[in-house]
Amino acid sequence: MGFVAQLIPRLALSERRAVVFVTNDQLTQLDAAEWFEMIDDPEYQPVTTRRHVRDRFDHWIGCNPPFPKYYHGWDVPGRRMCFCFKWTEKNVMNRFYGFLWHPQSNTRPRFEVCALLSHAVKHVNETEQSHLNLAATMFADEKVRVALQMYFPDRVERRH
Amino acid sequence: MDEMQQRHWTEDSTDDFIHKIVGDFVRFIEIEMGDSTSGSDLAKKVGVSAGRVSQVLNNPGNLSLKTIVQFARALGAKVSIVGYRDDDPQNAKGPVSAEVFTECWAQYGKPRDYFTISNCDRIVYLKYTPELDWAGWKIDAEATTNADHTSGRNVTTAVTPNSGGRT
Repeated sequence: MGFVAQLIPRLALSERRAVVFVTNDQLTQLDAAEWFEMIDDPEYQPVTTRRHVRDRFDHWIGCNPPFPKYYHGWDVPGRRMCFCFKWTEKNVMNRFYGFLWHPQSNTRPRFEVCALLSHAVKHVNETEQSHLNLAATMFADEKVRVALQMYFPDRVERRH
Repeated sequence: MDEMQQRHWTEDSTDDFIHKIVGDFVRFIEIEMGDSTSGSDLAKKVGVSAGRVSQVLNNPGNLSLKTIVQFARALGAKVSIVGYRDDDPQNAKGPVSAEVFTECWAQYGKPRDYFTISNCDRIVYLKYTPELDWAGWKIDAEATTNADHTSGRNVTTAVTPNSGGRT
């Protein structure tokens, strides 16, 4: 099975933004969905983790003023598509890494998707370059884009 | 998609809903604190330990209304509790964020009372532009400016929504 995009259910609804996970059975690095499934379980402790993470997604989806403690991108050449969501659980820093993309450039040019790929537990306050490399690679992969456009189909522009 | 799937996560429990709305307040506190005020400064003002401030900021669900007011006042800010209806009784969309209410109030000229709202003589014309704005509404600067010239009044607040220009 190839790349699969999964829209995260039961978040805030917006015409402008959405958060999805991208998975692939062959690529174990794409573990963000698996992590989220674990922490989103009502039995998971502390229960605040689930709430913190969902609240961060909602905050971004709502186009609220940017709040770097919750999420941010990188203003660095070759990394400008990269994005991460952040939270702390039991004094340990956690991250979901992915990329931003506009999957409906013809139908809804302003609609933006955050495709989350991998999870990292951090012990130092420095960016995990391997996760950014992965995000940049996936961003450029046509098969990933096809998977995303299965969820967010775009009108094909006809050339005259 | 079943009914549960269509509900926002804050519909799971009252504690989930509380976490969401008090989380908005915690974000406000963190922004107000900025870089200049450390958690220990706020702790001194409120009269609690720095550890308690950290605990509160990390677990919004445990914040009492009394503590919310104490924290806000310690920063020279205030708090309102706003009930509203948003045509979403099943809570499929989740709560409207506090930032939205604050921004709307600010754009309205920060009226202090109902009199100020009803006595305003500025009309900000909104244009429906679905491609440009997620909510479809955008201030029509040209129409607003022209209106100011013709009225000759000082402008303050008021919003007149319409569906394609001026009313």
